[in-house]
Amino acid sequence: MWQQIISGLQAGSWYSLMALAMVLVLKATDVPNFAMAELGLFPAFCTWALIDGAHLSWWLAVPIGLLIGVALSVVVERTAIRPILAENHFATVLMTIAVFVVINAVVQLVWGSEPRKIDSPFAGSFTVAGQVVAYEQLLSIAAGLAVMAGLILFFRTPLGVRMQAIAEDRVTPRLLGVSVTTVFRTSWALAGAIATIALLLQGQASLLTDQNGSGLLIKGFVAATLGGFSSITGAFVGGLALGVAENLAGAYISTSSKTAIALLAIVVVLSIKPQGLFGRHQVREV
Amino acid sequence: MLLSIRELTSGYGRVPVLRGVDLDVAEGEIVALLGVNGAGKTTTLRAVSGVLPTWSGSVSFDGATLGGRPPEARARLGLGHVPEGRGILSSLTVRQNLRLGATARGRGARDVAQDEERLLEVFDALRDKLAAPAGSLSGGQQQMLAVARALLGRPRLVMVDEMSFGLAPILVTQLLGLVARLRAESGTAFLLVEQNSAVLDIADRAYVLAGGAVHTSGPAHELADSENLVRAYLG
Repeated sequence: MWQQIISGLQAGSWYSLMALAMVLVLKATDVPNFAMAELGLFPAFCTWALIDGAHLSWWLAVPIGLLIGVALSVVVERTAIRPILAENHFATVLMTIAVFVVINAVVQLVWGSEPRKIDSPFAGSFTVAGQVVAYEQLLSIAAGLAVMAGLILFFRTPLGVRMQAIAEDRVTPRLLGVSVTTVFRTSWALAGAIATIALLLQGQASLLTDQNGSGLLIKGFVAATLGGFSSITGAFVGGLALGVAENLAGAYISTSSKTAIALLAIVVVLSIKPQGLFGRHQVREV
Repeated sequence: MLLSIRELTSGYGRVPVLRGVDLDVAEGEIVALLGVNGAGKTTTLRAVSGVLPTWSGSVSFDGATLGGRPPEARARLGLGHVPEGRGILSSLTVRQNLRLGATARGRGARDVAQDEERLLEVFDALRDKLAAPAGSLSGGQQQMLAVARALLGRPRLVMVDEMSFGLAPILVTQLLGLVARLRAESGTAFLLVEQNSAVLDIADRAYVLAGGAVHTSGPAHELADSENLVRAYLG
């Protein structure tokens, strides 16, 4: 049971990170970003190539991978999203799906469908009270916590406050001098880095394939929905809860029940609390 | 002239609202913009701050032509706009709302804390509420916050859309008194959109809009004395 919970918290941290990235983009630009996981998948494959192909050290390859993640998100936001954002909201959502398909195709084209593993210096494990804990598991959980804490602090900085302001009202902050362009770019850049961290952690703890993105995308959406899609803490707790629930169901019911658990969790939570566990009631003018 | 509007036309989608507005605000002046609902008062402010596009005509501020610049660039030139409905961001605290106003000064803004302190001396009712969610303020306090927030950007001109809307007469008198005091202390010019004739007590000049164009303009006391006008265009 303890093993299942630790593994659940590890996978849950990846879901949390993906959810945090999606909440960031949604808060700032009001777009449910279906390309979010692929925006982390491509840089994760680049990192793998740097370590495995170019024999760079992990400590050098990971920062480069993160930079690629930031750059990719910024370019996608500037070239594909921003030009149509003001025109049609539905078209923007479709555009994120198109970006998802394109990036996935590029990953398949360049690296094929063979599973890879990112070599990390965190291999190995230790024993606490008779239970084996892998360093990778600790790393994932610590990274998730660090990103959440960092985001909470970030939202108290002037730039973070401007992002929240734009999320609530598109016009008034601009009358006060807030640049929407800067806010959009920053939120996509941060989200790109966070999605890359999620895929890297998954790719070095288990395997990295071209299918990792779509898997994490669904889990990230579930976690963000559980958390109410507006709350940082909610998205984080939602991810962890989902990871643990999945792993317990996998161990005590059957491994094939894992995905069903995720969707069941959504149905149950949304029918009891439609705004999510941590969400605020939002009134939208129609 | 600080703000100079010439032959301005604008509207929503393809529906024209402004049909050639001419209006000036001098440095340090308080100007009232009056008119019934639908006369084009709010549309004028929106076109000046860049929320709505300028169809034709020109708007210049402090010698610079504003046409085509986004709202945030106009704010950074020193043009403040307190929008209709006040634009209070309820997900932020009162202090976060207030500090957001300093964005208009650009990077490395100094003396924000001192300016905030000075504004809190004027808008004393906000002082005890700084950590509270902005949505919890009363209507009068929200209006004070909206004006104080705009002023923290050190604007040369602040346009306020219906400051008196939904407020008790005693609060309106108090707020207008504060505006007069701020102008006297800082030299900030104000363009006040109102349907309430009380604004004429503090304004230097006034314009009456009707059907998207200026119907009458002149010194505020003269307009206040013209009973027919007040009856026809103000409630």
